[in-house]
Amino acid sequence: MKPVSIRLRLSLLISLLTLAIILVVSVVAYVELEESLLRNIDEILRATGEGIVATLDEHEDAAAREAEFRSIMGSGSSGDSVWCRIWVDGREESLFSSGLANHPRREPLLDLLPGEAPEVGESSFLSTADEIDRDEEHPYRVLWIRRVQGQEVVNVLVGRSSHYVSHELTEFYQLLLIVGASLTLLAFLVAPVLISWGLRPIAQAGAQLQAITHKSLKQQREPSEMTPELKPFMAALDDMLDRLDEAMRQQEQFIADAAHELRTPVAVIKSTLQTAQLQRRTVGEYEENIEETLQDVGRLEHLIEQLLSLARLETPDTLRESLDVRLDALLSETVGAFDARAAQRNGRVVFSEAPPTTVKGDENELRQLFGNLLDNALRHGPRGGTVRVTLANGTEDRVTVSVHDEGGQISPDTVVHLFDRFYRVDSSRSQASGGSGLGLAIAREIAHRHGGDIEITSNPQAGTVVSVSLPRG
Amino acid sequence: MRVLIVEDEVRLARNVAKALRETASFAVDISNDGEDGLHQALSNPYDLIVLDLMLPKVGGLDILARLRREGSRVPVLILTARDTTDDIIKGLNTGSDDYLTKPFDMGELIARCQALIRRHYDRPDPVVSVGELSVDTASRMVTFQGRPVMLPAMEYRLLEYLVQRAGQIVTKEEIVEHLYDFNAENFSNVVEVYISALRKKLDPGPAHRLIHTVRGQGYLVGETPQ
Repeated sequence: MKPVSIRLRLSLLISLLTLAIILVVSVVAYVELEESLLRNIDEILRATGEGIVATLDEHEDAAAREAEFRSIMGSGSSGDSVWCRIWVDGREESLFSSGLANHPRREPLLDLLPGEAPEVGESSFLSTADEIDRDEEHPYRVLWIRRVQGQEVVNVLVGRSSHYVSHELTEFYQLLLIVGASLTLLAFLVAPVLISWGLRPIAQAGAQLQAITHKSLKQQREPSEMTPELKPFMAALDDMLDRLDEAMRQQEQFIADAAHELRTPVAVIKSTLQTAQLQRRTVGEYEENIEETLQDVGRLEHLIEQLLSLARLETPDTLRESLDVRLDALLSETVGAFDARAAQRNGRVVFSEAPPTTVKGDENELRQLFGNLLDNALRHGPRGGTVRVTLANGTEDRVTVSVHDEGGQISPDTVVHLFDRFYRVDSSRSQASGGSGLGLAIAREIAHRHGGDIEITSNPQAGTVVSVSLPRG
Repeated sequence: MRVLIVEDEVRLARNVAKALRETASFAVDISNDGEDGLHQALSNPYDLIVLDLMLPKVGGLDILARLRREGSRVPVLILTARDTTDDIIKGLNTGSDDYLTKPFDMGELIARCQALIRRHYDRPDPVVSVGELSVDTASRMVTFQGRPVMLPAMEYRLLEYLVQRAGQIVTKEEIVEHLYDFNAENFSNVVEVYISALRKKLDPGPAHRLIHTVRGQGYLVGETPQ
């Protein structure tokens, strides 16, 4: 199903709301109008009824009463549209009646009394409108007063046509219907325009976001142009874009560095070979060139190896399989493999014997981790220095391996960058020191994959210590 | 012509130096870090500097900016592994005259170096002619009166410098500064030996002279009556 647009949803909502409000207002207005119209009739009826009751109290004489009744009924205020009938309970004929003859339905006050009679001593208004269909041709309203007069119960019934009321109400009802429908329709038509206007900041923000490419991630959007509601949202987006930009920048830096690292040995090899080609050389010169080229190819090979291993380590993030590895044995073996390298530099590598310690992990990766650390220590430590490897059962659940060399000239600003890929203490990419600049990055990657961590401390007194902490197996 | 190579890849620098010496007869100095490179560039009158960008101590662009700020007009060719268009634009806008990315072709590098030097001496034609003498600086072919003349490297180096500056008085100090790298033993009287060797090989006859001695000032190349 196609999703309904927000604009349509809001338009419908606004239209429904408008309709509901119009309905409520209409009902209230209608009821108010009806009440006020009926109140007018009721006042005439009450005045007439009170006049009749007063006459009943004042005059004992039937003829005088009749004259008085007639004068009340004939007075301008009531007109002939007011009917009246007075009778005593239990008697058939009326004491008095007026206006009934003119009524198109001659007996409105006799047989069609709408509703129950009031209690004796009470009075009540009754209306055909309450009972009978509003479209009835001759609706009327009556005031029925029952009171005790001597021994008898006298009924006074005063009535008036309510035709005008129902006519008014019908017209008003039609008016409400037309106005209500028009307003609802108008709301439905105008709402989309208003909503578009209301949503314009979002549309503008959307346009701004649309303009973002991977090259313009960091371009700052103009905050003053933004509505306050969108500011936190856009700020969050900006934050996200900044993080993305940083990640992309790092990635670009990595690619640039990798390109540089790969190109440099190729450039050296090419220059060696092309220079050799410039003119005829002695066998000795050719041999030297071959030797140099092989060294550079070896360097390239090592770099490619390291790059591939980094790529392999980065995906997936966690170890595929993890077995028990005897860390003490692995360290002892790795240290042994570096003996010859250390001896070349008149130095040595020492591993202080440690109790059997097991960690969970990939043996090859761990060997690579500690190999890289030893390689670094030998490369950057002082000539003839001693590299010490210690295995400490730090805490309940973690073991710590430290590789200590007697160097220690790494400044704190530099230490934080040591794990960056291709970072070298000297900004030069010269490979005179022989490292690829990836060894520590790989070491950290492996440590993290094993749920461990790695850190470096360096000071001139204590030397440089690289500590790897790993969770115990 | 004297060239400075500022490049921290020792072997690469050495190869480029060797190629420039052998194929272009340039005197070449090598500097393996930025600080030393800047110092050399500021203290010697090089005809060209081949500059790497990522250098220890002082970066290549910093060296370049410093040189230009000091008013140096030396042609600079940036030779680097940084190959993005942004890098190239930045390098050229910092004041370099050319930009070549690694890995590069040695022949191309040499040709570019020679082109930059020609432009520096305002002689875009690689063949420089003075009277009956013609020197093709690209192929290092020297012909005199229609006949090819074979010259040893140092003599060619001297002749090339003198003809590039034909019509101007060239002092002995200038010759020494432009023909010897800092490893060479600078005995200025050796210059006279080479001058006289050249005069013997390039003798236009009794009525004319090609290489003149301007007493107390230096030498001048130009075929004028004796």
